Amino acid sequence: MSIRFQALDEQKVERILDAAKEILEGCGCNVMHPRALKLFRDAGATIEGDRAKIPRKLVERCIESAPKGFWIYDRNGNRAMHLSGKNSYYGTSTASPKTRDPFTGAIRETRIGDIELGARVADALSNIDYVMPMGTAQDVPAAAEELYEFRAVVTNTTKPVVFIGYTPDGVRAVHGMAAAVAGGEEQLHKRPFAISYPEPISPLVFPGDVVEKMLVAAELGMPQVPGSTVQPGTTAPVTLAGAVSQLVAEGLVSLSIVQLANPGAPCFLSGNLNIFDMDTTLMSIAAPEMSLGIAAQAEVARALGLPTWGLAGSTDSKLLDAQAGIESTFSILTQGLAGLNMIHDVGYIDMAMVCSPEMLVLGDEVIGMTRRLLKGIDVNDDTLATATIKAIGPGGNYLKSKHTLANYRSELWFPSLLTRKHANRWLKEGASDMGERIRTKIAEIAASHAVPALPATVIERLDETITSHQRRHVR
Amino acid sequence: MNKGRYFEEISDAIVNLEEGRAVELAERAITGDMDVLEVIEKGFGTAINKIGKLWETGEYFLPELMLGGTIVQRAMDVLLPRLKAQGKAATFGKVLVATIEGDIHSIGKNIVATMLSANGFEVVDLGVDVPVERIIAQAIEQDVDAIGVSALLTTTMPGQKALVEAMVTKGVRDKFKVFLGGAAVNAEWVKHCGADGYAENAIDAVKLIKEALRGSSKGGK
Ligand code: B12
Repeated sequence: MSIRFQALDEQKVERILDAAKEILEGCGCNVMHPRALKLFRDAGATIEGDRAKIPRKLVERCIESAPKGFWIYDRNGNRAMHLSGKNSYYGTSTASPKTRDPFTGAIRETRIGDIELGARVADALSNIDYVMPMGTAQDVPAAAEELYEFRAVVTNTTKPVVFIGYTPDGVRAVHGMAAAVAGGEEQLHKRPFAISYPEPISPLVFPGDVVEKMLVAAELGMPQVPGSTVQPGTTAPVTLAGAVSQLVAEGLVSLSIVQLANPGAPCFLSGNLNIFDMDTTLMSIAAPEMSLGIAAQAEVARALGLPTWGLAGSTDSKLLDAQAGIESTFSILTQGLAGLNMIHDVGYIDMAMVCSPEMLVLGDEVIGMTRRLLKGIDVNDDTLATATIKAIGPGGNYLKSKHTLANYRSELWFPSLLTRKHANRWLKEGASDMGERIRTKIAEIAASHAVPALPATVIERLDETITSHQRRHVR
Repeated sequence: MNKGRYFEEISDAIVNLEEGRAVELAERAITGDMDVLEVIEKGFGTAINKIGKLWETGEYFLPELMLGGTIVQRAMDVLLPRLKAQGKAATFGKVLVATIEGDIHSIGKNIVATMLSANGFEVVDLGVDVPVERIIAQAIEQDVDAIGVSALLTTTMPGQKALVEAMVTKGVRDKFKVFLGGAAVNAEWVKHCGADGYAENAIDAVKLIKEALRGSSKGGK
């Protein structure tokens, strides 16, 4: 593929990777987990208190044992995403305390119904490839939060799921639920469709429960995408080169923990970079440097052959306005051009505080445009169409040509929501703006998009798991 | 020495972020045996306000605010011993800050803490994941004027309410002002908790706490 955006050249990738290893060797990281510290010590790291200084050799061995790309399947066991090279897949936003209700426009606390609807909308959108729970539901018992969320998602989409386990036991329980859906642990292991998302703390802190979540997933062989978040100027150097090296270093620690616990367990070299706004003193989720920095991080990961992670389709705007359109397009396009493997967070508004199905649908349209661009231009005898040009000649019309009929569907992209109607017809049909068309689409999906039901026995298993988990963990 | 000119010089030094000059000017107040309180108010106080204005008009951003505050702190280090010797309060008040139990989001709380100390408050930072009991015990032990608690998660926000409730139960509610913060905190939540206020960013947090403690801090400035 020829149409690409590259944040770093080979030399810069080398320097950043070298700096990341230097950070781990010279500064090290805090790993607040005795067993993980022991794993590091036994593998040759220097341990003082919680601090682990990790030699290059150790990191390199862990990179070596990590799988270079892998397949993620859908709920039915079909291949869905090949996480390798520059294959890009887009997924939803997640975990926000609030939701923008697509039917009333109100911004209110997230409910489990919002997570169900988010998953169903995502299921219906052809450019959304995987689903995260769109919010943290405030109306279910906190003790089994992630279990309720997983149930809400998996019963409303067949697409792969990325979930946030709030506790190590929660990760274990969700793994059990995923196995029930897949038809057994072995099936799930062979065709994983659920990915865990643990979040270490920048700069360079690995809290005990986060590490434990990583170890649980590693030992279960469940794929994971560790995501610390650096905010240049606050939790990392303000210069992007420094912030990206630190982010790579943090990713390498997570990868090493996973590899030391279970060599060969699937894991991304991943992380998030968000811009802290020095004016408002709050965090943006849509800055240009965010896409630039995340692309750079991913390029380092890709140079090592490891799967990569992105963050796009979010806005700092509080509603679906021109700003939302600009910020969605900018990040989806640049990160698609950069070829990041799993790009999440399509659907955030208000600096990640609010998930919005409308923003998700908007993003779906932008991804459609982006994918058309990425497809590029095929140049061969048939697409050059010299013979057709000769046949039609000067002053002719290509509309009736067989060549047009044979090629227009694959060559041209058809918007589903952008309007290209004549102004008169648009007026007659209600003069809708993009937001109204998006809401109509959501209403249609809510009313008629059917997701195949899981067998009753599986649902029973899911509910049993939730009930017993809740009983054991009264929070 | 022309006093007005001298105060202006202080103000210029701080606004231009010149640490050496600011400290030098503070030393001159000591050697010149000036009214230290007046120097702090008319010199350094004015300077802080000016920097705040520059932030409001978009000329300065957080790093300048932080550095400006740090420089004022350095200058205060020179002035405070004299002030104490005169038996006067040395800070705007003492504020305890913490992120509530179960929550490890530290960035916002840290920025608020830094801005508070840069603006002349004494800050006791208990860190993250701090239980209500510990917050109250420390507030009493350290004799603070106010408590600021951060909560970023909807699952940990109830801890802010529990804090106020526990203070009531322990009969210490009116001993400390309680301020809340975190991205999802709003006026309604503050009311629901029975707290004294909240701020949406670090600069407003300083304003809020300054305003609320004016005249009432135990230091009594
Ligand atoms: C960075 C981040 C993290 C980092 C935190 C690193 C750190 N050292 O703090 C990490 C990766 C560790 C993290 C972890 C988690 N996070 Co988090 N995180 C964020 C994120 C993206 C930014 C927070 C931030 O730093 N903002 C920048 C600072 C400067 O802003 P601020 O905190 O709002 O503070 C300002 C004001 O609020 C105010 N203020 C703050 N405190 C105070 C105090 C007082 C007294 C006053 C007056 C004012 C005040 O002034 C500050 C400065 O301007 C937010 C999203 C967001 N937009 O807020 C999610 C977010 C808060 N996290 C979220 C979640 C779900 C989690 C996890 C549960 C995820 C997981 N995988 O486990 C864990 C929770 C761990 C735990 N037990 O606490 C959700 C919360 C959802 C909910 N239901 O409430 C959010 C909203 C993101 C999302 N949509 O998913 N997170």
